[in-house]
Amino acid sequence: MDLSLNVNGRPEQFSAEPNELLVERLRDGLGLTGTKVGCDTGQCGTCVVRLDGRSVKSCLILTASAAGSRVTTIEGVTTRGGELSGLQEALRQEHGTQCGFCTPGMVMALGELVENTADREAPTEPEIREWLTGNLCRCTGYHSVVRGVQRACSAARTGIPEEISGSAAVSASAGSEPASVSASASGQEG
Amino acid sequence: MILAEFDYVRPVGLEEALTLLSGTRGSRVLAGGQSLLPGLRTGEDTARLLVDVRHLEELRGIDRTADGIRIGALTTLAELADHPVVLAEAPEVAAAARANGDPQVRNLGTAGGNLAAAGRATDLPVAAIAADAEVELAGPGGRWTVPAEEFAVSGAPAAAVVTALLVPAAGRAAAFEKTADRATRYPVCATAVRITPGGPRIAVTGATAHPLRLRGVEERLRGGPYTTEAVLAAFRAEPRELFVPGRGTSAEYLGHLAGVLAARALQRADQALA
Repeated sequence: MDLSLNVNGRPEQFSAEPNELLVERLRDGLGLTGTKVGCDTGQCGTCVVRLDGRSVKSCLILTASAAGSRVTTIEGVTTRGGELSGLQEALRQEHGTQCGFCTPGMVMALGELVENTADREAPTEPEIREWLTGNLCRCTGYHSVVRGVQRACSAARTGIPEEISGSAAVSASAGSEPASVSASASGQEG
Repeated sequence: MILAEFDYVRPVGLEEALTLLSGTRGSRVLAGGQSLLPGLRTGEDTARLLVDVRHLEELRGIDRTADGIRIGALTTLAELADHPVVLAEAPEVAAAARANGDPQVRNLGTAGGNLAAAGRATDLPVAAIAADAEVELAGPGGRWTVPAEEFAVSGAPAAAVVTALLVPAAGRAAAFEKTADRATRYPVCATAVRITPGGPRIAVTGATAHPLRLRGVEERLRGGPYTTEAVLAAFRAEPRELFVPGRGTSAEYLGHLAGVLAARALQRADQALA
């Protein structure tokens, strides 16, 4: 089938089989390997991308069904100059990446939450945790990821990245930059 | 990847979709795909032709009707969970939509697909049953409706498309409660209740063979009060075989859990009514 997609602002035209999944087109067809495949059955969330603005699992939609839509992958989140987005930077500062395999999916999923809540009070911790039900981290857990989202929301509201009040673990790292943690998973194979 | 081979077609309208479905053996309706695609991958589902209705505008939208709400089949679970009219008039339906899967599944998963996939213990059917809702279908013979309770057993005929869910308005006197399986998010047990002038309507899923109404429990609780003791006693009087053990649970545990969840839901709906 001859299909077209807009991926990270670029029009793409290609031929695909009816049983091809969007994640296969992105990774194998277009070389955008920042999007990961974890479970391949729609449970782990490493393949989350934005489809016409909404976060979706790219292993749970056919390329043919996505055709004609606007797709944003983790590669489309960073600026052209390679600068991290506010959310990515906040996750980096809070050590919210761990091994990094789940990170692209988390950034793509959480980006929707941050945008959806931009015009109201910052999402609460239970809201952030509920939003993360579709993203599995098998390293250590979600505390640092939650703090990263809180930092991103706080920064978006005040204009400057602020320490999250009441978070003891934050003060341990505040003031000293983590040496070599990068929240950018784009183009890396985890 | 999906190893099964199938053809794919994106009809421009409902009529074309119905023609395609009735004209091809082994054709299936593809909407959000959040149950069907994993099913095709594992081999639990088969298809020779997927008729993709996801882009049909005529199946979208939530509208007030004379006595309730008409929910277009392609309304996503995320839209349903947050819609102000649904939250105000059918809160158990909104809560059931929110209880499904995770945010990404709810962004693609649809109301119609969730109802049609009732065999997988999805969350919407139980709320539709408690609401006394009707499922609207379209097929080669025209359009018709089926009570949600009946649809939970019969499912959709092969050549038909779910077009809408018709939900009577309840005000706030309705509630939904669920205990989810931690890994799959499917309900170990979920209950939905509506308190009507004629008495409570109580439906359960996950713990039973299929989503169903518990008329015996409703009868025992008619007139209230919905104390936890009274609700648990009403559930204990149900035949034990009603509850189907599995995934490490016993029938006794499931019966108790259903009672606890129903008590919470009834108490919340009762408070909302007061």
